[in-house]
Amino acid sequence: MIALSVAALLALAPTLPDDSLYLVEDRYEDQTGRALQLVSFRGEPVLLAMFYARCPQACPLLISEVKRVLAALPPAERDIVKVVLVTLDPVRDTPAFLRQTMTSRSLAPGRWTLLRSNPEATRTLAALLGVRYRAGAGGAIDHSSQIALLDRVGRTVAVRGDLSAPLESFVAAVVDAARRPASPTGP
Amino acid sequence: MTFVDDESQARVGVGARRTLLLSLLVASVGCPAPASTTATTLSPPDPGPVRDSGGSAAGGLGPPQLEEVAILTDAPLVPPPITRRVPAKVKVEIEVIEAELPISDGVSYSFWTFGGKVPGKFIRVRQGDTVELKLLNHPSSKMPHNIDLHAVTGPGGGAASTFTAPGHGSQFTFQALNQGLYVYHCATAPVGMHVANGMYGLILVEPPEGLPKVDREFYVMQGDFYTVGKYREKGHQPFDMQKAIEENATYVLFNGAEGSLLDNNALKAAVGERVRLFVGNGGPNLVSSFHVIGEVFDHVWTEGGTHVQENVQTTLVPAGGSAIVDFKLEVPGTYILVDHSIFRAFNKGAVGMIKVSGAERKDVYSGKEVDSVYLADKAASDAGAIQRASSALGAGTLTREQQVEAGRALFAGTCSACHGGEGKGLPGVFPPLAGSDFLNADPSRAIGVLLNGLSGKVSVNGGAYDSVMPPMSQLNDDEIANLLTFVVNSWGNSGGQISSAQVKERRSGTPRPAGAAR
Amino acid sequence: MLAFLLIIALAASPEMVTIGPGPAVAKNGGPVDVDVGRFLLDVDLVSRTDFAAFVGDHPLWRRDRARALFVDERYLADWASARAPGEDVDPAAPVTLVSWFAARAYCSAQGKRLPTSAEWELAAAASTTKKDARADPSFVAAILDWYGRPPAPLRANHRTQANLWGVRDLHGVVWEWVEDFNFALVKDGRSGDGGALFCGAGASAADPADYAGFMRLAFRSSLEARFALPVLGFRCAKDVLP
Repeated sequence: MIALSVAALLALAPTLPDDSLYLVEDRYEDQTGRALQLVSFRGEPVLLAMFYARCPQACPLLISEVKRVLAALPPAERDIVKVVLVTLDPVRDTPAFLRQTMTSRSLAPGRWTLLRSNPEATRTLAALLGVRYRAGAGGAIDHSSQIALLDRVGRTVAVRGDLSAPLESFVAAVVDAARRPASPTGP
Repeated sequence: MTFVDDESQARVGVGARRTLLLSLLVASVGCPAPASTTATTLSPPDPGPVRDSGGSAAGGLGPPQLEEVAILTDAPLVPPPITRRVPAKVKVEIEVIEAELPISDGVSYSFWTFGGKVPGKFIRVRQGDTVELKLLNHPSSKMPHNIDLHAVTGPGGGAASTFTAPGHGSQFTFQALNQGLYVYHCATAPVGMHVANGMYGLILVEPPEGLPKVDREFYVMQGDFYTVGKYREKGHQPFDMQKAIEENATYVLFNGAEGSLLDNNALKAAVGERVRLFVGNGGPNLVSSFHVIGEVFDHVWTEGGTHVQENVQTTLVPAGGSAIVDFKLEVPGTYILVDHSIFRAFNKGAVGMIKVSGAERKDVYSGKEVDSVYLADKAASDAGAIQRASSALGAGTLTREQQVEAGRALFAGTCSACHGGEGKGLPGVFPPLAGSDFLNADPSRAIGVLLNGLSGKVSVNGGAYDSVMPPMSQLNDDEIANLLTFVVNSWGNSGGQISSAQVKERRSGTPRPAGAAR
Repeated sequence: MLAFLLIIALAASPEMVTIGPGPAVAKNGGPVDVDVGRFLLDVDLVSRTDFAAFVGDHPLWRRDRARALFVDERYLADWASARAPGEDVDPAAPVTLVSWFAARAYCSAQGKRLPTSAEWELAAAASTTKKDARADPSFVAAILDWYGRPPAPLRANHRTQANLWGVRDLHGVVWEWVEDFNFALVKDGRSGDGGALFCGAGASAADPADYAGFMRLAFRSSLEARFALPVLGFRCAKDVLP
């Protein structure tokens, strides 16, 4: 396991920039139960957000906000962009429950991936993204909502933190990320 | 703002403070106008149509036409007036520094500052300007900080956008839509403590046409401070949260330190000039009754807003608020800035000075009149020295020389306004004490004069006097003994020593006026 | 060389003491009150010497190799070289200028973890004589006094007497990283939480005894995980094995 990750790191080091989120080696599993690392999403622009499936209000809003961004993209760019949602509640959000959420929220599997990890890795990702969260009353999780845009090599190039702000500049950033060539070192 | 840090300068500072208290006394008398002044009937000035600035709706004056870096100043200096008549993008960079600085002679305090001093840097922009504000929190800071500018239109006034850890910087941009003089302050939890440690300053948003021209502008900002030790207790004094909650201020200060506007640090101006003060109050708790002794504010932009009030004696400056005042200087001398909630001036440090040079204007102010009632104020003396002398005498340990020294300080605060610093009095009005035949004939008679006052005709050194001296009811036995011992050993008088016991004996045979000390 | 460093690491390996169980004491906007179970906590802050040993074992955490994703440009900036603190700083003093990621990696390498804020607050509520001294005016005054003063140069550990749990220097030396430093929602100025930390702040902490905890909350809220600060160090915790 350690040998594997060191090997992986050595293999990637020449091409991943120093501030790429894809340097994180934590293991995740998706809604199908498949094990993967964040670097699996390398190659395409990614909209990355943290949520939890039982979230009554903020997360449905967050998901609809991602859909709004997608809808605002020209078709060519929309086809490229992937969406990754990582749960803040890795204990209760099992792959089965995440799969159920995909269905109930009409999230197309080709474009959307829902991930869970362990509590420690969850806090790592939140720390990297600047997401603040804590256990709230009655099993709720209070958290800040934001959508990060990762470029093809995993760098955060834009963050939509204020979901009530106008969409234009964020959409423009997504279009820009989608149009840039997939060179290993980025733009 | 400079601070004395060596022994000799510190001594000068104490003497100068005594002088200040004296001048404060004299200046605060509120003298009746000399009889010769012609009574003129003043018709109220025509206020003209009350102008409506239009508020924030009128504030946007179009996109910035140019870019500039703001000139920032430490109090009491103010950046120069803005002469351009187009909107600009103004870059402001403020560094938050936590620093241990003197709050009074021999007393240090851990201030948290916008720019290294209290109050923070003065920012001057024009209505309609776009302000790009960068807040840097010095790496040596222990606390996170931010800035909430009252001039900002937008949630939090910039607080959330500038929340900054030590060794980091934040930036946000706002358009200054409303004209006026605004307080800015740190709004990081616990807000009260950040403000109490000195995290406030002023930002002036000039009206598009500018403010009326004046000769001098100064920056004065009041704040209240809460220390574990008493007022002027030496050494480093930590912040006292409990006193702050109880609003029981240890210090009330202009520009962050006792003496920051006194003596060599006094504001300076000349007769014939018009002076404008940008006055702020950082709080955290107290509302200021801002007053300049011996002047009347010709104009007050009340609460730092747009409309002008005229002919104001004292203007209220709220905590987290401001006022712009101006006045023309006609008479030379020293003018004292106070918070006229007056114990703060005498006992907590809320005093400053404007020293005005120029030719006398006897037609405006004769310079003679005094009011003896105020002279009874014990606070005018050097309380520390006298207290020490008192207790030493009480223990029977005071030499004649020590009594003379203690009495000298008391004299300066209590007697010299009438009898003169050299005891020469004023011919025909106040009898001399220097080489006084009246005094030397029977020094112990003077005990009764101090206890009971003296009225009616007396002859001193060949001059006739018919004035009223009030009883010095506020003085205790030790103080009277010291005072008289000083007087009889000064200015060619015959010498000797008056003891506390003598005074006590005399007092016991004297009906005491209501309110007399001990 | 590796063996030598290992010996240093073992020799410097700080003693741990058992803390708890205890009530949740971090109520100033902290996580919902959950009682804290028993856990182990380092008696001392991690020193520069301790951290140098770790960096020797894990060169990817040297300041010249650490990823920008995990540290900012001030990471270990006061060290003479990428490998050692050097002569100009006291090697026995607490290590500072370390990011949350680096602190966490250090603890992980010792088979430990960072304490949670609830754990840290429980340990730090104790004076030398009381488990919960937060209502003791002199205890609170000493903490607030340190918070109020500009930082002094860091010297060796053990500057304060161990508290009732046996832990030293929880107050008066440096701030400390905790695992869940990012639990306070202050990034969004428009949310209720953000507001609570700014202008409404005093309302929820009218009792001065709460001010110290409140100020720690404000401090943690200003942090991001990459930040390296001159007054921010850490110590490690560990679960008590059942």
